[in-house]
Amino acid sequence: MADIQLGAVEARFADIIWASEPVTSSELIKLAAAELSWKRTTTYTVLRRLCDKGLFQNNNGVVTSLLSRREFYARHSRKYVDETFSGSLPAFLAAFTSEEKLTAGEIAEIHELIDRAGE
Amino acid sequence: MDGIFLKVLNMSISASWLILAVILLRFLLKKAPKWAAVLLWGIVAWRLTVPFSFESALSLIPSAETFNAHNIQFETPAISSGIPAVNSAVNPVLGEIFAPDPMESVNPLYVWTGIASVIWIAGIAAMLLYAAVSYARVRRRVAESAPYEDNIFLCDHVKSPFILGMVRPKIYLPSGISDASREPVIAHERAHLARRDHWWKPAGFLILAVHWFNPLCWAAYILLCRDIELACDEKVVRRMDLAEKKHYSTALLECSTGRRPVSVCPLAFGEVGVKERVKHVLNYKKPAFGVIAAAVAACAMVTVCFATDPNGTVHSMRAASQENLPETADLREKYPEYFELGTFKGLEVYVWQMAENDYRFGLMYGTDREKTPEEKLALKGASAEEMARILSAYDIEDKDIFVIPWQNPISSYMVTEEMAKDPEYISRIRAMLGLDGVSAPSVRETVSVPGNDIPADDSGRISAEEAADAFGIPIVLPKNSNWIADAEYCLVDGNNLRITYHDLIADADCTLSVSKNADLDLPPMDYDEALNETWEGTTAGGQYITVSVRHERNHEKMTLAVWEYKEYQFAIMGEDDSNVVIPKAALNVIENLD
Repeated sequence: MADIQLGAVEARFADIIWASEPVTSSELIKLAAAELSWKRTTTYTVLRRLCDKGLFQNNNGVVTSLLSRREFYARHSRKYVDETFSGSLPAFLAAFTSEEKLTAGEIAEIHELIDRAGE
Repeated sequence: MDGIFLKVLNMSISASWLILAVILLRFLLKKAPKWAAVLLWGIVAWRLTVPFSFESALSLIPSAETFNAHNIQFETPAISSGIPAVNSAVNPVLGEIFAPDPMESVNPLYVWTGIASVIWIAGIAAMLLYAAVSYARVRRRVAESAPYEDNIFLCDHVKSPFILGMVRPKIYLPSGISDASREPVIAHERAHLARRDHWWKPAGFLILAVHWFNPLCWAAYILLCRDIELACDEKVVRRMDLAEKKHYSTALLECSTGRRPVSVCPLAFGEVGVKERVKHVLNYKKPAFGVIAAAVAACAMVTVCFATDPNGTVHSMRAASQENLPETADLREKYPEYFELGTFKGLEVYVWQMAENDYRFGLMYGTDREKTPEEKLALKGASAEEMARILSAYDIEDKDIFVIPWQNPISSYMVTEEMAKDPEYISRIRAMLGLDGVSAPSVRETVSVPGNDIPADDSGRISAEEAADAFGIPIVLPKNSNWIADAEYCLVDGNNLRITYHDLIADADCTLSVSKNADLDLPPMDYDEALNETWEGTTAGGQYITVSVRHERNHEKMTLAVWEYKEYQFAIMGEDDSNVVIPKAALNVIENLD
């Protein structure tokens, strides 16, 4: 089986399914709305993605797991990955930092700057 | 639309000086707190958005109105940048390329202004579309998020923390953020919220969307975004010790790296380099009181010198000097048509009197032709004060303003020909309008001299009294100046008198010929016998006189009235639609005979 990786939010959603499976998709929508304030479409989107990854299956509206929670975490570390996506934030949002390309040398330089501060 | 575009263009140009000053000041105020720089950008934003400004003698802005809408529309195109070298370099070229063609109604620069304003609107639409699309994309991305605490949410699909929303802003953190970085990042975002940066940044973008054509505005927006981040960092680290600052700097570095580099979006320019921010955070010391005082003083100085307009540049010098006159804005509402006139051939002020001391004024663009009665009747009658104010809105020399007396048919007050042509009458009226009281007023001929067979020289021209003396009888036209105008008596020879006049009711030039002891020399005409009429008149002495009225067969308007009195033969000829005006004039002449 291919390596399955989840983002932290996906993992929270997966926990809901593991905790209540077997669960109908309409019941799942209610649970996700209560816990994560998700809309119906968001729940469907994420559910389809996790089914595609081979973690869950949806048979005629009943969602069950292909891997139990214990099996999953035995095989995968809890280290979450960042989803890749193209494009960056709109220029007018107040963000923490921008995504910029820093070379390894530059990162090392800034690290040194921080370490040496106050000396 | 063109007017708004020109206004924005002028605002953009005068704000550019302020932007340059702020950029310079940012370098000088490196040690000052960054909120001072953000404040300066606030002044720039105010200058870019608020259409009115205060005047100040200390203003260093060269010109508040580089492109004048009136100049562009009607005059030889010219700019007034406030810098003589620029004007003298640009204006001859402008004048040559966009010289007004007398055959065209508007000058070419006006057409180009129209095209430019369409491009301007399209640019704004593109900017707003970009904003809407990227906002929608982010919204879709953060739909899949999990609440963390309060208004803070975790999201798998964002790379760096940010704030979304104006009314109920939410902080979104990348779900993969390390525990060590989470607290500094949340502190930073909360500082953004406390500073209302989630309002100022979109506001700045909105202003940029309007001024997208100005490169300095892009520079200003980029620098604003940097200054906002640095000011926010300052707010967070103000009470931190060195260890905490190091911790914060590391969080900054983590959020900037550790992720795959994304394709460089050309619009993700707002942020400041992480290295600069780390340095700024680590070196931050509470600014000394002196530095803050200097920063505040610098802000005040920039405001006075660059956020105000130079004295007396508002539209016209004359307008500024006549403050006690009615508000121009009210006049624009009352007489909009008087503010949109071309001055290429000067302005014509029509004046009429409703009573002895009741003068009314109407304004029209100058032409070589005489205005039609319909045009004149459409004129709204403004008071002298109002017209003076209206004229002051035009950038035109007094000598190009022509005052033309006019007998308005709705008025029973007579302005006689003598009055109308009296230079003193004209100069009195020009004085009422605040025009040159001294220089020779120029009066335009309101009526051309009728008839081609009149001797060109004035040798035969005589007064009505002289005509009566020469002929032995009084020859008097109706006195009503609403009816008869421009009567001219001309002695052709000892036995022939010709009086030309303009019949205002028929709107026709007429000729009254009188001959003594001789047959009248009438032009050969083909009269329609069926239309022949006879009218009866009575002289002052009680003598009945028959007037024979005939009409031209192929030109029914052409009317001839003929009668005899003692040894005199009379004839009035002219175009008469009504068929009654010329005969009535004839009866009037007869009434005045002995």
